[in-house]
Amino acid sequence: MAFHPLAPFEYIGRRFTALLEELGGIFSTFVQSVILLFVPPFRVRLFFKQMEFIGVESSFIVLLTGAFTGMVFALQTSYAFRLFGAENLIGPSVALSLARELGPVLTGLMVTGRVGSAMAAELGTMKVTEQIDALSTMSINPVQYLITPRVLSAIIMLPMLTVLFDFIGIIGSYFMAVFLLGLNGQRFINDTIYMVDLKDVYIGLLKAAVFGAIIAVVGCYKGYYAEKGAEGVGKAATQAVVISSVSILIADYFLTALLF
Amino acid sequence: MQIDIKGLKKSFGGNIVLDGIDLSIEDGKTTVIIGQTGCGKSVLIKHIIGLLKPDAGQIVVSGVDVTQLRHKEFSAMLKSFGVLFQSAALFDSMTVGENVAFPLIEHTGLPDSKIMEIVSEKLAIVGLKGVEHLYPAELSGGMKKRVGLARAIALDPKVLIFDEPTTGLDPVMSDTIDNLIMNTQRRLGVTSIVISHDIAGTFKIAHWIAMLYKGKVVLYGSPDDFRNTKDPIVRQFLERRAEGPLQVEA
Repeated sequence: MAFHPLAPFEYIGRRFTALLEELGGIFSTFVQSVILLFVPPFRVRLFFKQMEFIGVESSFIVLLTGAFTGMVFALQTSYAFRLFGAENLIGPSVALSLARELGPVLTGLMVTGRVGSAMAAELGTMKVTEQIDALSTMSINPVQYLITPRVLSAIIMLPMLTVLFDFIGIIGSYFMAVFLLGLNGQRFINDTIYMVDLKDVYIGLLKAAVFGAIIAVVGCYKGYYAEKGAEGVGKAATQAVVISSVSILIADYFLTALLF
Repeated sequence: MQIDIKGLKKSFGGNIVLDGIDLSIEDGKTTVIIGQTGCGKSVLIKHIIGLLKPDAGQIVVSGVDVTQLRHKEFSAMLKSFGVLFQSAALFDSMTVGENVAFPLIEHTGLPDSKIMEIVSEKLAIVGLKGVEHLYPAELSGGMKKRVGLARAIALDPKVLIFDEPTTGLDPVMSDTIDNLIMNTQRRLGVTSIVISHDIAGTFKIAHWIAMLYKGKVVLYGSPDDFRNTKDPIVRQFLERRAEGPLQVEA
């Protein structure tokens, strides 16, 4: 087949159009799910079920990751701060990093792996086995029934999980600093409270809420539009994790640039 | 409910699936739609239940063109429809009882005791008893279809749609499902639309048969019309022959 000089441009154009279509689809799913939040029937039971799945059931992995992140961060910073005799900055620097960046981002990434993929797989299976069509034919709006509770629950639960992550991370770093590195415990606490502003925590939580929306909307969108049986469901789950993770990191940059 | 389909057209990309379908589904009777795989039977059904929008044409249900209805009005009309999907489409996170109760909980506001009573009654109609606590994964293919039918008739619909109800079932179970379709249709007086490949079953349950080919209705008539037709396309399909004008898509 002869090579057409415009073929690369055509290819790039097609990929770019597909990307725009996907972004448009994700955004439109988000807008629909938010609008349907205010339209009866209000599915309180489904909200609680999702909050349990996204929040309560993720708390263990968040605790574990938070504790070890705080501990390793205290260990790493201690090497650097010791060079300047500034070990008292370990507490504040760990707390600031956790509240502003690591808490929301790592919580978001952990929840993406656990919840985003599960949402895509569950909705994808429902799609390919006609369960979503069945909902529609029973006069039930599938977006309102399946996506709205997931999106709202993720927006609420991600900041809560982040608080848990930050708290346990600071506790972890406290134990490392006080019991392993021999710092004064009271000073660690005082310096941390003095240096960390509540605004740092609030903005971190706002980031977490945005990440929650990204995880749920992308997971639901990929599942809702899954095609071609089991292979399609697997692909949807993988893409949900990849797109959410990348989106979280990109959104984190812009939120940091805008808010701090 | 009388359903009149007029000049229905639908294409996906450049592929024309429905090329001007004209078909009348008679009120209170069973119309079976037959045709080769990929001839547009499921696409036609999806238009009737609003899962797809036509490129052109009308679907008139009891005098109302449903393609022009707004979402809310269409949703209200859909409550008169019951659909049994090819895969039964049971919600696998719910038990059999919860599946059948689902439309009742969503649309009736009846007390739980009354809902449970209706669930048992609908399950008894399809020949199932004491299975309310089981999950769909614990059921055989035939049982899933029967539970799907119980759920489809939960709200006493006026129109029942069956998408390949006997595909994947053994001959005895297929006949059981055919009997259920006939009995349900007689008992509830519903308008039934059945998509099928099963020729024997079609002749057993149909009042009217429509055969689709290349996006059009090639023959519409009674079972006797189909038995007596000389149309080579219809004859080849009914006689299960690979040779003839009908070609298998590569």
